[in-house]
Amino acid sequence: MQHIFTIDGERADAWLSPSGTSYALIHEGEVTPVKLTEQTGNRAVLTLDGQDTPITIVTINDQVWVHIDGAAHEVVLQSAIDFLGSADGGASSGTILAPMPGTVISVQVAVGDAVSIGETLMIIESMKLETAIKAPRDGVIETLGFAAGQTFDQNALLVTLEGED
Amino acid sequence: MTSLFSAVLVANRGEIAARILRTVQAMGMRGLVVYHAVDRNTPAVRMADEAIEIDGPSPVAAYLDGAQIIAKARAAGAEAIHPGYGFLAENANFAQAVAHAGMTFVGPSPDAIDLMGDKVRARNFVAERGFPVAPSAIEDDEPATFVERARAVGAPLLIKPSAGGGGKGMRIVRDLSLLEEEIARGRSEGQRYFGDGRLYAERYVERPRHIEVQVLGDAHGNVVHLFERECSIQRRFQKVIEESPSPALSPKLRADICEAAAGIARAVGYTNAGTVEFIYGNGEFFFLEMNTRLQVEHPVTEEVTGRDLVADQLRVAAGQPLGFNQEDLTINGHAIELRLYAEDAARDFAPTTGPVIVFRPSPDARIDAGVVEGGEVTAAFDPMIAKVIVHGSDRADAIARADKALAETVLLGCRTNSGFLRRLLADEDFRHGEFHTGTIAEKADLLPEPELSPDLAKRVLAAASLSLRTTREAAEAIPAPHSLIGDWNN
Repeated sequence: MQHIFTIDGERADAWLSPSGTSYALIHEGEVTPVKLTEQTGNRAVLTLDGQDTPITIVTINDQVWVHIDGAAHEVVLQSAIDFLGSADGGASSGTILAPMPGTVISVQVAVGDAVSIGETLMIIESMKLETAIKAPRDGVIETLGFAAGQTFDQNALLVTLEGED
Repeated sequence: MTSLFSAVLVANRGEIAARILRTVQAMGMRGLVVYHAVDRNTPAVRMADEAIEIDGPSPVAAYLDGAQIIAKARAAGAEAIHPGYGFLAENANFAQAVAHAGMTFVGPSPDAIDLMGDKVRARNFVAERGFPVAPSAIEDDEPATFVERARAVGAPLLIKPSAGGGGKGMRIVRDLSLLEEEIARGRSEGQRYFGDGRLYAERYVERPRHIEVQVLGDAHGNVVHLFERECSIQRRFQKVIEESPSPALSPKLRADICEAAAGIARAVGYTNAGTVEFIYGNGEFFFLEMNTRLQVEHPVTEEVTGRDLVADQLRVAAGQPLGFNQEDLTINGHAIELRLYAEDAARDFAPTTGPVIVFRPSPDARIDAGVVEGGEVTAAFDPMIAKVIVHGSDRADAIARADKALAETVLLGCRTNSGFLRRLLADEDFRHGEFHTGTIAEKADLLPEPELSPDLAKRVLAAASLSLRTTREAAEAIPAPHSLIGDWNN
């Protein structure tokens, strides 16, 4: 079956099929014999088309971290539904997610307030830097996720706007 | 050699606490450290002869609680306290309190900290003694006319909190119609970070380079400089790459700027390690501020001069003379430090967090790290994970070694700026030494991770698919199509 992955947030599809003593990778319409030989200390040798690449690899549930060719990549096996669920959203929809973890410094609006595009809704602070969260479009404040002084994680829901997207 | 102190307590955390302990222990002294519970699993706590837990309303508050730290240091038998950088390092009251408690503060005198800690007083002091400073307006001189006077200095302007440091609360104003708004924002940040909303505004040097000079003084009146570091590669006023020597300075300018720094330190009667920061552009340099502590980027100076600055700090704090002269110091080769941050360059340097599942530093570089395998990168502190420090025969050699060290350093579980650092090292302007403090902001094309090549994407997908149970089980569950297996019909 086809699997949906993200590599560093970018979608990529692939699947495995048994092949000989190992597997074949099916990706972009190509079938390539692949093999992973595990070593100690999270090290492994990836063999693809007969070519060996030394890598370091760890998995946590559906998340894989791999260091290959001098760089680390985060691969996540997505369920198709999760992927579609996050594909809409985005700032113009009126849903504002925290770009990074931090603290709310002040909230300039209240639920029910009408706001215009570009208007400052709240000031947050993350890693010593103040950022103004501005309205992505005209609308009415539907929810405020946090009050001044509260802390939030990355991707926490800060503000939603009512009205059509 | 008899040891200087029986035990030295480090009032800090992360990479700098570990770096200081390394020298303390190498000199035959007991190395103690205080730690908040969130830091239990960090290198300093693991290597200390004694790690003493401190608490507070937040982890940061614990490390700022001077009274608690002094009480615990005394109880543990520490004879000296090294404050590292940040936290209590530039707090004159803390330095005083350490002395009152009968211990030695490893740093300059409270008076020097006080004078240089107030940016306005420091600037006036330096200007009065004939060292160059940039045109400015100081709010304290006459608060009612501050906005007018700032406007009169002219755009572009840099607004800074008087009590500030580390880029916090600094704002560049190019459009004077936004001046009042920016002043209000700078004041609010200054108030929050430093409990002091006073500001000053100064001429912003376009395409400026940040060049600083390491100084060392002893209690016997000796002051030397240990040459310069260039720290112009910054994002949001925070340093990313530092090097020594600076590729921007001619021998004449190097001598001038280093002599100015030593002159300022002498005028202050400075003891211990300090750094005089300058802004440099168009062949001119202006005094920026003096940092009365060990700097994050001190290792590049250690690499080119061959000195251990922490050892020098401890010897000077114990009352020993420096034991060497200016003539004994030379620059050997070239050193570069890269700050490995837990952040996503492509998302405006947003901090990242996560477990440190694998951490395997390159064996070919000095890596001063604040994390260990099994630890965690949290949002509680600064996002710096480690410093990757290399020394080469010349700048090109150091750049090559730096790139190799980054590629070899494996950190899995938390996204870092390693790829971004490697793109900076490969940048033609960087390689030619042509950059300034705004270079990262101008090179937006270096921020995003480039798209993976089809070959690499395929190998990454293969590695991931082969290591995930879900994908392997799915492969076993569904028979392969005929086309995949040659001997299907057998």
